[in-house]
Amino acid sequence: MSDTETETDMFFSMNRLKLLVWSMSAGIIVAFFFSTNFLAWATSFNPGGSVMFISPLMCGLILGIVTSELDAVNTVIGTILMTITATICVVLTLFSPLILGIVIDPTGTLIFVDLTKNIMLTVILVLPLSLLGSILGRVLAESTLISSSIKIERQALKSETEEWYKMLEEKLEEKRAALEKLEKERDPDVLNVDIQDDPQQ
Amino acid sequence: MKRPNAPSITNIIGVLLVIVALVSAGGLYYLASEYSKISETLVTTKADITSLRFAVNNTTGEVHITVTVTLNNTSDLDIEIHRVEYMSFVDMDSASLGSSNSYVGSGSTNDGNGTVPAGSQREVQIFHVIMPNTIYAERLEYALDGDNTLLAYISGFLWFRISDYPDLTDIDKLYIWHVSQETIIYV
Repeated sequence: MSDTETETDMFFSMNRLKLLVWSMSAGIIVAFFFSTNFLAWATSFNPGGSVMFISPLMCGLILGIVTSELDAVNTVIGTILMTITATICVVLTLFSPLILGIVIDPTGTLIFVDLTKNIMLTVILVLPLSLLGSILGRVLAESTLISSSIKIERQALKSETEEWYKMLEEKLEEKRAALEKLEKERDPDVLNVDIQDDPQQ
Repeated sequence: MKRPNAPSITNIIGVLLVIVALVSAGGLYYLASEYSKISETLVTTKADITSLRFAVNNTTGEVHITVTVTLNNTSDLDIEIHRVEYMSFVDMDSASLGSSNSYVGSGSTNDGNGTVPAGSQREVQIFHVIMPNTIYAERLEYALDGDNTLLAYISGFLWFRISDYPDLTDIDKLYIWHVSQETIIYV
């Protein structure tokens, strides 16, 4: 493996690691606000119900900004990872008495919170809102934050790709035309050779 | 002009995101531990009727029924007694004990919203009086059936609240009940 290939692999694995860390971080922040709302009576810090809409939107926005240098598909993967992390953290918090072994009876944890409703609410709210936020963040970052050198580089890459596609189309056209020409030139009688008249037999 | 190895703005925002996430993770842990403590308190707190006393005042003919309820708090949080209520029934046997025909009155107290510190217990005494020449006094006489013993049944609820979480008042309710053969004391 050449040095260039190794460097490219490292670059992609580093980007994947960054994506994983950022998505999980955003998920933890969202889970904190959701859990605080679900267990509002158990804490003096109650930011109100509106943060359940604002937090996934804002975290998605930030995730969109930080992943703006990566491909668009990474942003979508990031929001999915963020939703999964947020849901896992909410579940862990709501099940904490059972997990910490304080309450052995599972019904003990179900006294105050409707687990199914809260988990469903987390998934339903976080995924679309964070996706919307990440798209907005990406648009915002591409228009303001990305440096001119990256923009030029992307433009060059885009035009190069388009050129390659054009060349490929031309080659295919040439090949198609050659095949058609060959078909026309081919004598149809050659294919209907009478086997009995064959001198080799 | 940007330096060649300068961190990009997205990386700086990413690092800030991670820092906020670490703080949020600490908040989640605190929330989970508080929730666990509350759950433990609600599940492990027990209330029982530990004694029942029927005393007849020879001078006035009044019957004083004294019920002692013990609240045992084994959790890590202090709790307060919010209210204790009970109904008392007496009969000569268990056949109709607990029916409206055996009802002889009820008692209640808030015990001055007494605090039960973590890992301790508190006894609450509640009493009510049956006045002579009433239907309840007649039921008591019927239950005694010529001797000094009767079958008594006490049923009620104890409401408590966690001192640090007063919003939970409506939820913390414990059912208390007690059935025993009691001997009337004359004083």
